[in-house]
Amino acid sequence: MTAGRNRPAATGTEPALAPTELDRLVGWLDERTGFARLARTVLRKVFPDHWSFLLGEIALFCYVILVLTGVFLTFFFAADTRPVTYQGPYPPLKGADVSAAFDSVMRLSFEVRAGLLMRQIHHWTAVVFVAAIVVHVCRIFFTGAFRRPREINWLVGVGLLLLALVAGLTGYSLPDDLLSGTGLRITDAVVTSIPFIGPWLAYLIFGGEFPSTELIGRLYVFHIMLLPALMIGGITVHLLILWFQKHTQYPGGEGRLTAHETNVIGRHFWPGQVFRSFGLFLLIAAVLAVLGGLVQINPVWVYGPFVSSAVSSPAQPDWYLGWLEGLLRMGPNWEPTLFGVTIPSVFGPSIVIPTIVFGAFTLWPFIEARVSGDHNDHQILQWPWQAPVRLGIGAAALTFFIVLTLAGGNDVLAVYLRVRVEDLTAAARILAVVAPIAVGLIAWRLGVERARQVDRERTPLEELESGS
Amino acid sequence: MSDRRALGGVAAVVAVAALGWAVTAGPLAPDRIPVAEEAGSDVASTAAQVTEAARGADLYQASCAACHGPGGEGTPNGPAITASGAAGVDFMLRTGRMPLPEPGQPVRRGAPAFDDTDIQALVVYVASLGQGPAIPDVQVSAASDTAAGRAAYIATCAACHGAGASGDAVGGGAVAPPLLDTAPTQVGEAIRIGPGAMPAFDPSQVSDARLGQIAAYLQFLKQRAAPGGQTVGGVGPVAEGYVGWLVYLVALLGVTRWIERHRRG
Ligand code: HEC
Ligand code: HEC
Repeated sequence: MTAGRNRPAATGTEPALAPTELDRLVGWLDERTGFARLARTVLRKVFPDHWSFLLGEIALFCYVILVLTGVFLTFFFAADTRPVTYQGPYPPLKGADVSAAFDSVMRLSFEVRAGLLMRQIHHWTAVVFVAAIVVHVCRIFFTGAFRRPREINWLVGVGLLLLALVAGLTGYSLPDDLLSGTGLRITDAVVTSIPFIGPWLAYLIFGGEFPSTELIGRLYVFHIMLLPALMIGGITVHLLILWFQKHTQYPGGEGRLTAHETNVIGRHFWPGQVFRSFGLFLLIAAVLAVLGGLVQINPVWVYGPFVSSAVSSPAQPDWYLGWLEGLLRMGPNWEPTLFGVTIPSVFGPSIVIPTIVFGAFTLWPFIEARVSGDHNDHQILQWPWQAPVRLGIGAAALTFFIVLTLAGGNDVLAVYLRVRVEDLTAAARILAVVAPIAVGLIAWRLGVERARQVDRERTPLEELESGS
Repeated sequence: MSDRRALGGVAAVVAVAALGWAVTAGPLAPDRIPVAEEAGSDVASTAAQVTEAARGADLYQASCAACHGPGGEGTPNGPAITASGAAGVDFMLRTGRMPLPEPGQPVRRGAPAFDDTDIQALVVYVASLGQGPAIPDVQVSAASDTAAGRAAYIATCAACHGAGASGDAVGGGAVAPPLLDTAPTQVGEAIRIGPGAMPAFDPSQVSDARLGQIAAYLQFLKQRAAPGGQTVGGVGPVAEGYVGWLVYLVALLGVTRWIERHRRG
């Protein structure tokens, strides 16, 4: 294998091109490492074409933008709760007692060049990032891409989603402002509510009674070291598994090529996939930069520094934890006593229900295989209607989360809809049960209908081809 | 924005010119204003008050008495307002809460139903029906201490009206409205009278000086162009989440599909 293979081949009539220094260097390296062979397999790997296969890439690129803007923010952020007096240019906070962390975020927002822009891009990207993951997961779920042999990658993906949620929560809390302080107070109550170990665990996490002076420093270590490191590791494993297992593809094929369990129809990694992905990255970065530049997010100067005696309302977490907030707002005020320990009312809605839901979500590939008895390898995806039961369950789960998320913003909705908050909460309690069942049944039914219709329309030729 | 400033500039120039003309040659020129005797002017102002009160009484009987009773003593359709005082009446009328269009309707902020002179007449008349709080003197100027105002606002008001004064539901169907469009005097009145579900704060809780500071802070929030760009309703993460999803679904999925289609074409 020699370097410079892209040059026109030397023929008898043309003088051979002399190898350049670069060619020699590459050749030298190749003789010793054999990387060209590897590079060729890498570059010639085939990726199937479908826009839905880029959904995961959107999430990946959001992550890259988060890291890039996040690094910028670390240059200026001070993870320190020591009290200082605000002396910056924002008049209503002049002379206010704030924490050094809050002070540094104010400096970032008003004094550091492009600081506010970076903050806003970072925060907006975080908001969009989780949305991108959710949609990607939906694609994987509804097309059955998690089926054997891809169960492990499903688990890695679930881990990444959880890490993203925790990263979001810790990041939201770093500015040490009034709004995020309310969020931390709730987090503290949730952790404390775990029977027996709760108070001890909360003490461990928060480094003392809430609001502790340790907290921001700890959150910071999680937010900029531990979580990103775990996520990079997770993403690497996620992509390596994807690489070695080959990409799944939709049934059918392209042009005259028919998709089989044993082939992959699409474009080569190089140049097709690489250019497409790079273009996508740039476009996503552009959209998020415009968003961060034009639309305000989390105006910490309005909330002001965290003061334990004050609250602001409406107070919500970022949207991806809104369903937890919704569960808390909907939860009944019921505090049973177990073995002499009173279980706080937040325990059920904030720990038990999420654990059950997330547990089922995590184990889904195994549950489905067990129930359907399908333990075969699958390289060809299903259209969502090809598995109507799964379609119904997925639609029900999404509906459940949407109702909870809406309930998490019940006070805001109440103002817009001009109804009583209490009525909304009562409605949400009913809807959280009824709506998922209704939507799930409808989705299942539609799937069944569609499958029948397709069956009827199948031409004999196609049946011949599929071997039936 | 600059258009409006330019307009404001033109208006200011016109106003100054008109004032100049008025005080030198026009109706306000010193030699044209009749100089009354001391006692006479007293009589004149009392007379003016009497006619204003009479106007107020007429207006009251026409628009308010049906619910609040001919003497302000109250009816099943409206509470007694003899103790509302000038502050209470002025607040209700200037924020358009009164007159309520129909009995049993929710009391909501709206456009005032009366012009300035009618409001003054009604205030004078209703205030004369009993003892109640006077209209507080709320001073807002460029020198107002917005920092003190912010601190007081966050400590006493933000729990219901929100840190950004964007308003929020406070339960039981009551809504603490957004405060960015409320005039300083009405802010002071609301603090003193506590309309609807809002508690009243007396001077020991919120001093008279604080009224102006809080109003000044609210004006600051309104007037200062929001750093960071367009705000999303000032209601925080709920609205931000909707915007994030919208951008994801429209812009990001849009470019993704565009890229895929573009390559195939
Ligand atoms: C359709 C009936 C109705 C009409 C007409 C009406 N009001 Fe009222 N008013 C009410 C009701 C009901 C309340 C109680 C509001 C509440 O509970 O928040 C009220 C409250 C008030 C209050 C506050 C009382 C307090 O101290 O709590 C004032 C002041 C007042 N009205 C003045 C007026 C004036 C002045 C007019 C005429 C311009 C007027 N109202 C017309 C029904 C009416
Ligand atoms: C317990 C919650 C609560 C607190 C605390 C509170 N308010 Fe209110 N406020 C309300 C409610 C509810 C209303 C609407 C009353 C109505 O329309 O009947 C209101 C109305 C107002 C209005 C009238 C707005 C308009 O334009 O119609 C003003 C001004 C106001 N509040 C200012 C304040 C200020 C300033 C503070 C702090 C000193 C404060 N409020 C504290 C609940 C509250």
